[in-house]
Amino acid sequence: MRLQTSGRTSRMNENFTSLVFFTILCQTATGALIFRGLTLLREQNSTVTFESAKISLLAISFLLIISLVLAFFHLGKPVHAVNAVNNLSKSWLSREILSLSILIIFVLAFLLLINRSNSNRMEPVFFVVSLITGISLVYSMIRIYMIPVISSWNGPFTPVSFICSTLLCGLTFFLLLNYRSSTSLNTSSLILVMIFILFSFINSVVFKGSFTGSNLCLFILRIILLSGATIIIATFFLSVRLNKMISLWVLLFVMVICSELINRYIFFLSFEKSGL
Amino acid sequence: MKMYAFYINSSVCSGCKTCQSACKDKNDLKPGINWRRVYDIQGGGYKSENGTFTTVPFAYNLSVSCFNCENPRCMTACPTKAIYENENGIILIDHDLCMGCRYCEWVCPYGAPQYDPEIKMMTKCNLCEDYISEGKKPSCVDSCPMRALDFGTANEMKSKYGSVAQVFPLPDPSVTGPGMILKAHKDSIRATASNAVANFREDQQDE
Repeated sequence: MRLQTSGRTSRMNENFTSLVFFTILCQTATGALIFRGLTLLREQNSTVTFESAKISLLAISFLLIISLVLAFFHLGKPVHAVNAVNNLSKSWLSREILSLSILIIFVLAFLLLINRSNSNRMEPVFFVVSLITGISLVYSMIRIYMIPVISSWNGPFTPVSFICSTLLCGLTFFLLLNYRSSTSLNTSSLILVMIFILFSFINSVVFKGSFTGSNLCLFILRIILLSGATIIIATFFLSVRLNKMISLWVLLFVMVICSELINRYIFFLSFEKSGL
Repeated sequence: MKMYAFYINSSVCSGCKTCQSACKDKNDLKPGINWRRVYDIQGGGYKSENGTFTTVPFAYNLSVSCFNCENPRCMTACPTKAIYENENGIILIDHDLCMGCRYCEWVCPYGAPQYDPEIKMMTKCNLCEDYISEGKKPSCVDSCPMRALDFGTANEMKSKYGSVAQVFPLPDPSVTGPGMILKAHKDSIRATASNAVANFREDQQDE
């Protein structure tokens, strides 16, 4: 039985901008941690790895702290936020907040540790813990937004979109932080970035086929940004010299993160509740 | 634990919103916050018979509040445990815990939890728990001039009125197990016809 409804305005009646930034920054930091760990497996005992570890972890912890601060802007009573982990047995929101807190504490603790001991021997342990916590954070985020009464979110678009953002933004951010490292790493990573861009684009088109009004403009802007990112990656393949220019890496990251922010903004705009 | 239920007779509801006004008055609700709301559901379709098209319109009212669900999504989703069930089985909000994240507002299919921008926390219908403890019925029920509402324990209401709990546009009751029994308006069946187009809105004339 088919039922059409019209004239119903069940749009989100709250400001969700802070949530857009919070989710994307968290996912970027988590993705960067995952790729940091994978690189470690490839380049163990390298001095470059140790030096870059400190810079990467500083940048990642900065992103995580910023995202936590942004999360507070969404709350009506931030002073009551200390109660946010009271319902760990049932609430995915509680689990998300716990995962984020553990991740921040762990990254900061590890930063202190490697600063004091001047060695990153403990990094494999750190990598395993941060990987588990990071995956738990992204999974909790996915479950938070898969709400049965919000039909526009309760489908494959949400998990695919969140995983794409984690991998795409995370990898681009990680490459920006390590742009001086070996070309072989960058070449294989650049191919991965291209694949993630493709997946992100396909996800937008397949699951959100119809765009109207401002959504269409935002979607076009997103396509332009992703195309720009693809052109930059193509130039990296063509010239090794360009590969070492930080300005191009910054531009690539800005284009990718802006495109994912737009995608998340469209995601929140698509909020359509069934029921009353 | 006791489970309470509302009975809503949509076939006699005139949409006068006395229940809404009584609720606002009793609970001193601010503009924009309506723990009880009356929805005006209207629309139509057409049927083809012997080469002619006949319109099949529908229009009815639906008075809705928190249904004190058996599996309350709001309570499960709340990260702070601010939404809790008291010793009488009534789901309430503890304002010492609520952080105003509004997640309960997203997950409730009945629009029961509502944000109060002044206190920056969520609010919801408390079934007039003070009246219940005095043996009275909630203010919305007693104020209804059409006697379209009734209230009692879920078992009482079921034995009196049956167990129907679904009418367009309410969701499948198996999702949350709402404490609600309905007598649907005769036109409501037309709202679920394959070619029906429905418009529904909540009149918020007090805003």
